[in-house]
Amino acid sequence: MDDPLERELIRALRRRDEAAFTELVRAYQHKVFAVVYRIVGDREEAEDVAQEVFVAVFKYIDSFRGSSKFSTWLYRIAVNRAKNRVKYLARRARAKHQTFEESSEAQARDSGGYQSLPGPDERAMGNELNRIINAGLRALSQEHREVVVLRDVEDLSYQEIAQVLELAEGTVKSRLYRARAALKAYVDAQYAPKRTPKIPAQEGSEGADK
Amino acid sequence: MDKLPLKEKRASEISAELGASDELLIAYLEGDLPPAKAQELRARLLSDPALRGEYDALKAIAEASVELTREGAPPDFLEQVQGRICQASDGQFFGEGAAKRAFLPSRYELFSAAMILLIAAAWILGGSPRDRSLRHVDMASPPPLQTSHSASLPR
Repeated sequence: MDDPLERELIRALRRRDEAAFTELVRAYQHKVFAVVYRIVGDREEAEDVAQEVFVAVFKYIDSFRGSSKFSTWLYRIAVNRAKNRVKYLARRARAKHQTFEESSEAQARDSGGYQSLPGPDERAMGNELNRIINAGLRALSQEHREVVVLRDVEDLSYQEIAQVLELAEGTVKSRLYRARAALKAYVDAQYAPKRTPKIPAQEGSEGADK
Repeated sequence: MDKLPLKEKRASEISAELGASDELLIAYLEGDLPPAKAQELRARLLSDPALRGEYDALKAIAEASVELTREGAPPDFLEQVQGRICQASDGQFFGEGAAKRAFLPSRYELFSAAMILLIAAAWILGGSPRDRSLRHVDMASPPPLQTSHSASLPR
């Protein structure tokens, strides 16, 4: 933690300075929300989790030792809270599904009474590739998704992602590679039944982007 | 690589075998290849349309993934967080009348402070402002009283 402004901010947060906390939320709200939203996959739930993250920062700022960057610590809280929420939602969905299966509504669904409707995000998303990738990200395993999200949201380095997820850098790299490959496999499969994969690409686009 | 229709698969089953060419292309996209290997791959991309197609697909997916992450928090996010803290602390923090000032002074605050300093400096250096059109009034001797009587009084 070499940034003097960040040091001052942490000191003020430890004094429970409301103005400092307000500044912190303003600075990080969109980044934290974006990470949480991509992991949780539901806007309303993500808002709730992201709020929880900042409340936790306000409460537990004294446990921040300064061994990593403050943002790394913040992302670690965000990722852990988001993962916990995903687990909770999965448990709740399983319980609901069981109840639903037993009800008469299940019969209506089985007879074609229900169609799979796109969510609001999907409806708003005009671009087909974006829609598919959105679904693909949701379909990735938890560990693959969080690596992609951390890499793509903030362009975090392998080292930073490793600190956030408390993994070895090599593990982060291999997970990211596998996640990228899995996402491509998902996109290919979505296009494959209809036609040969055709993904918009810029002419003459070469070179590493990151 | 898995080419089955994945719509029918459960999310947890989705994975992909990382082939040698995939690994190379992803490493290139992530900027992990040493310059000599990157140069070699660039040459292959120019001469191998199939590999180029794979590369373009991976690149488009990575770009779209970055694009998707630009989801912002709602406008009332700060108020919601402050409200939660207020509730959790029984109004000790972010309650009624709590300071809502920013940690760092805003642009307007900085401008106002600069203007105040400028006026104060001008005041000190130039003295208080005077209206030159005002005539001097001798406060020590009051003006003579003008009444209807005073005109007929002998001087």
